[in-house]
Amino acid sequence: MVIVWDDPVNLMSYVVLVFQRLFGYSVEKATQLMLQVHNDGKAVVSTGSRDQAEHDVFRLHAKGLWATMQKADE
Amino acid sequence: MRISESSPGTILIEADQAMTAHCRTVGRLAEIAIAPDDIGEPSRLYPRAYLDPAEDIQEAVWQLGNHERLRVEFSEELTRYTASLDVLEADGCVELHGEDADAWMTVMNLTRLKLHQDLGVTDADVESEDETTVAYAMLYAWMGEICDVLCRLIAGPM
Repeated sequence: MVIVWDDPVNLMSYVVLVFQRLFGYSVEKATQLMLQVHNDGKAVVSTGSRDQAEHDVFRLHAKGLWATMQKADE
Repeated sequence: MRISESSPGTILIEADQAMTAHCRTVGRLAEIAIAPDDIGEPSRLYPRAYLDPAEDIQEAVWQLGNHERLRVEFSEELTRYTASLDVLEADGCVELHGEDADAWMTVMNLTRLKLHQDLGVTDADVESEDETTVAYAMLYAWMGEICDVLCRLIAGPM
């Protein structure tokens, strides 16, 4: 699974737009995830195969978001 | 500087020479920010993909396979940004479509990340008594405002 971590730099509007663009999420879901990142410090933004997780992490890093990946059962 | 939507999907940026010069400064800072010096070292622009120290080998493989790729992507965004600045400087305005508008957001955001990481700049620093700190903080806040306006115009009405 792919986790996005909170940071004090990325704007809320920017994070929402990135989630919409990269994952095709609705504005409601993207906003909910952004708020989870902001309030809880992190949020799982996608799940899937290792290849998919690597792809997602790279795209998130390319947009300046701090994302990491780990196995779902960890 | 004025940022507006000239038609659906098209962002219009209008700026005088002084504001265009500020945008050039951002471009030069972004060039420093994406420099390969950071590659191989954990940083905000080239962060770890695996947090667990037990996965350091996977992380090393990840960095070898992806950090240079990431630098190339950043560089391509900066090239798009700089090309649009050439138009802005010549005409006093530039229309941004799709990837060009994304490039502006990415360049502003990466530069903010670098300023925060290396100099600890935050929005609150505008209250500092140190002139240099205030100057960086004002630039940091200005880039944030531009990025926010672009996001809202691109996203459209909520």
